[in-house]
Amino acid sequence: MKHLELIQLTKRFGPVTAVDNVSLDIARGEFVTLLGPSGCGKTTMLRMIAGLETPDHGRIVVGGSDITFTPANRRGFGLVFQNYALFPHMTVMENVAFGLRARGESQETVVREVRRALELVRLAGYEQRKPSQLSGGQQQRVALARALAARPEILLLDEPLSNLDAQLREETRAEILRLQKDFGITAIYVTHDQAEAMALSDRIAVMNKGRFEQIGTPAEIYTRPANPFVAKFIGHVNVLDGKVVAVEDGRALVDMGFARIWSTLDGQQPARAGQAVHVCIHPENLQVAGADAPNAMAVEVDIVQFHGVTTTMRFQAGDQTLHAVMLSRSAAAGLRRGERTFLAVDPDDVLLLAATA
Amino acid sequence: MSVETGTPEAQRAAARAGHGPAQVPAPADAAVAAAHRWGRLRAKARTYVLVAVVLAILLSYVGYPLLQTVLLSLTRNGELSLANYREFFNLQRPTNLEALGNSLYLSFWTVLLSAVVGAALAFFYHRYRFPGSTVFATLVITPMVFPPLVSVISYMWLFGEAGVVPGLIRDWLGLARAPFALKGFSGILLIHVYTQFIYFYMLLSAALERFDHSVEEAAAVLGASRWYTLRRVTMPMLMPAFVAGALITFMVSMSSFSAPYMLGDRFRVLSIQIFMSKLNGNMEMAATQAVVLGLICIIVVLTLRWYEGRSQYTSTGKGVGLRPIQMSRGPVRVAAVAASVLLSLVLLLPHIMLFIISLVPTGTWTWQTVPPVLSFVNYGFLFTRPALWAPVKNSVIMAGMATLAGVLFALVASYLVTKVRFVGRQLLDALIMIPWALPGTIVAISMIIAFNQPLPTTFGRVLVGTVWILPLAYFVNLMPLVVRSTSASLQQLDNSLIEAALSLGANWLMVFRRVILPIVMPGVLSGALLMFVHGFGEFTASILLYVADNRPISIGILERMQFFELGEAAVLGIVQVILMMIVLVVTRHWLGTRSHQAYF
Repeated sequence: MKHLELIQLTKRFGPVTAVDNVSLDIARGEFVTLLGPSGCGKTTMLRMIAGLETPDHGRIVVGGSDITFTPANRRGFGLVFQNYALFPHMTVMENVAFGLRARGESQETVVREVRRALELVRLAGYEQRKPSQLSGGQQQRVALARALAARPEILLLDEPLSNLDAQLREETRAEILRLQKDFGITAIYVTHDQAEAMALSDRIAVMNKGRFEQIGTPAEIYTRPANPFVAKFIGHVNVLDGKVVAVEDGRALVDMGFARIWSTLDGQQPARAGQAVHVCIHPENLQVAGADAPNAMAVEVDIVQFHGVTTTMRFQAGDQTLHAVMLSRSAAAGLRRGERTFLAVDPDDVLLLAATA
Repeated sequence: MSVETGTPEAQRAAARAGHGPAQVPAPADAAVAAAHRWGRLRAKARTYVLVAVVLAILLSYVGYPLLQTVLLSLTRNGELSLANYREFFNLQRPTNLEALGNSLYLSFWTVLLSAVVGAALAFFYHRYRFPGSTVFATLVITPMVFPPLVSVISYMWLFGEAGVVPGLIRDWLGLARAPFALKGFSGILLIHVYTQFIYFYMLLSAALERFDHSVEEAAAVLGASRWYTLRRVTMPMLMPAFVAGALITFMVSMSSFSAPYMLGDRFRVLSIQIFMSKLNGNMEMAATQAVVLGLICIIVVLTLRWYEGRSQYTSTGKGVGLRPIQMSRGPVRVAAVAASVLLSLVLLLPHIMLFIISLVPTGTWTWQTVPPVLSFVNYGFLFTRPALWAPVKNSVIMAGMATLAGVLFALVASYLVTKVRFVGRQLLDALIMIPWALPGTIVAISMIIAFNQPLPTTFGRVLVGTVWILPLAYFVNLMPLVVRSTSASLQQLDNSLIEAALSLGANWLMVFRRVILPIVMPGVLSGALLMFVHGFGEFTASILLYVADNRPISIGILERMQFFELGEAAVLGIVQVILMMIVLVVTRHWLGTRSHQAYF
């Protein structure tokens, strides 16, 4: 069931087109992330949904009614800012009560709902503190409580975790997901962190230069990136230049200069012989193997980095570079810089993307 | 609304995600399109209503009078002509050129000496620590709590022709006449340096506080000598403070009126020439002189703004403060304390003198070198003699009215200038800042020229000769103080706070009352207090615009002086000093802002 519809939205700032004719439907209770590098237009998208920017073109529809020009203060959405935007001169209580008071709720309701919201984010007892007396994580939770207190049907989050340290980020991530699922809120989340997007989202919309590069579930986007941009952005995928040499039995043979490997075409874009392609291989799908293994590539070890559970390696292969991730306890992790070896990859894990001219 | 089809990529992306191209068609019917246009319009309407109001006020009371002044300067006997400028720049009768030269000469020396004094003190108190050093460092700014006219009068009592200090020296050495008297160029210069070195002192102190001394360490590690480091690293980083100090001092000095008016003797400066032309009824020449002086001031301010925007060296990292040098050796410490005490005394001497004179009953001090009788009787007159309390009351009312209007105006204008993007923002900003650049003399002259006829903007009345023109002049001349400090606070206010409040459903009134106002209040209040004290003690515009019914406190002081009621004059001065001290303490300690910030 469609809850929020973004229809052909365009927003320009002077000569810059921040959002360029973008459409997206979001179902009730869905968690959708707008993922992209800084300046890709994702925050502008969110601000248009919140009513803080007016689109130059296009419409925003919620539950069937057009809200494109409804002012922000009549939309009733919850919005969490990157810098939290807590009112510094108000207590936690007053901050969280702000939206309820703006709606003219009775004092009784305000007190009850504020308590409920603060319990949700586990900050009961902090009512009389000022934001400056709270840690970053606590401030973040107050911002969340403030956005949730008035029970919005749509929650918008603009990089809410980017100012937290790594551990707190993971904890809060789980917290946000729990609240969103418990209340069945429709959530739109903006981030440039692909790991965060993967962990939270029902669907991810990868944005670049004001447009969607790909929309899909985290698994779809990870395993089947639509183009080299998505492939590179979503993970440390190896993207190599190659050329299709032959196509037979639903497989394609690709020449990458230093090696020729097979790719299973099942579920992929069609390929034809002579076509220039990008060859995408996830680092975890590369195995150290013997020279006679299928799809083996001769490489030389360049850099070895130990991370604890895993070890990442960079290999030189002809004039191209390959990254691989392996478990540190595997024998291959013992390779040293300068050693020559072979890497193999399952043809099912070799993704071909048409090279744009 | 035109219907665009999605780009192939967008369609492909959408298709991949299981969503076809947008299913809801773009609204094609005229009704929806009109609704959209209306929505867009309404979002901008509020902004433009506010802009229109602010612009109307500025054009009526700033733009129009200045335009009239420029026009009058280009008029001779009702005809358009450059005759006034030919007269101004006439080498055969160089009165005006001399005055211009004197103004520039005086300002040059004021800048130079103020820089030397201000910089030396700033460096000294920044680098060295000894008993009481922080207190002394604060005491240095005491000239700030002295209105220009009052400090001139105190200096005259101290060092003037009948001053106490020359008198005491005469008695002590058994001379026939006082060995020196404060007057003319050197007298004005002394008072200028006394009142204006604090601009350098405060700007440099602030710059030194912000200064990241790790860059000096970095230079040393890179092999630079101390001299090379000073020349290539330290000085360039402090340069903005020096330049800003020089420009501000230059401008204040060019506009200065009180000191040249009281002490000028035969040393005429341009601001006095304007005043004299007005007294002689030669408004065309007054307008011409005002245009010349005004242009110089505006050029200086524009240079300052351009320079501020161009060269802000803020350190990139956290920075390392300087570890101040503790003066541990006994004799050095004693010398430093003694020098500081002496300096504080010199700086406080005019205040002390003012207080002593305020204790002198009228008619008791005639031929004696020092006043023979001291009593608090004059302070009682503050409540019993209309000649004393009426000017105080007038100044409170007029400065209060101007400040109230200034605050209301500043809240709207600052919001527009800092938070809203609209066509004409630069013009608005310039019109607000021009009165800040202009001397009170010019503001007053332009008002006399513009408002000597009924206008729609003055509700069909002739303002000249009424009690209304003076508070209006205070408003125009001093309103930039509130706008600047309010704008500074608003710039600190993160836009996302306003957006957060809107997204939580607050209407504009609630956003303003609950979010914007509480946060910018300290800035507004310190600007308002500053505007009030300046309006309260205003002299330059007042002397040109006051009428019998609204004589402000500065005119009251002059009148008491003319009646040789020195004690009463001093009491009025003390009232101003106390008010300024209160404001300084409130703004610095309670509001957490430094009142000088509004100047820069």
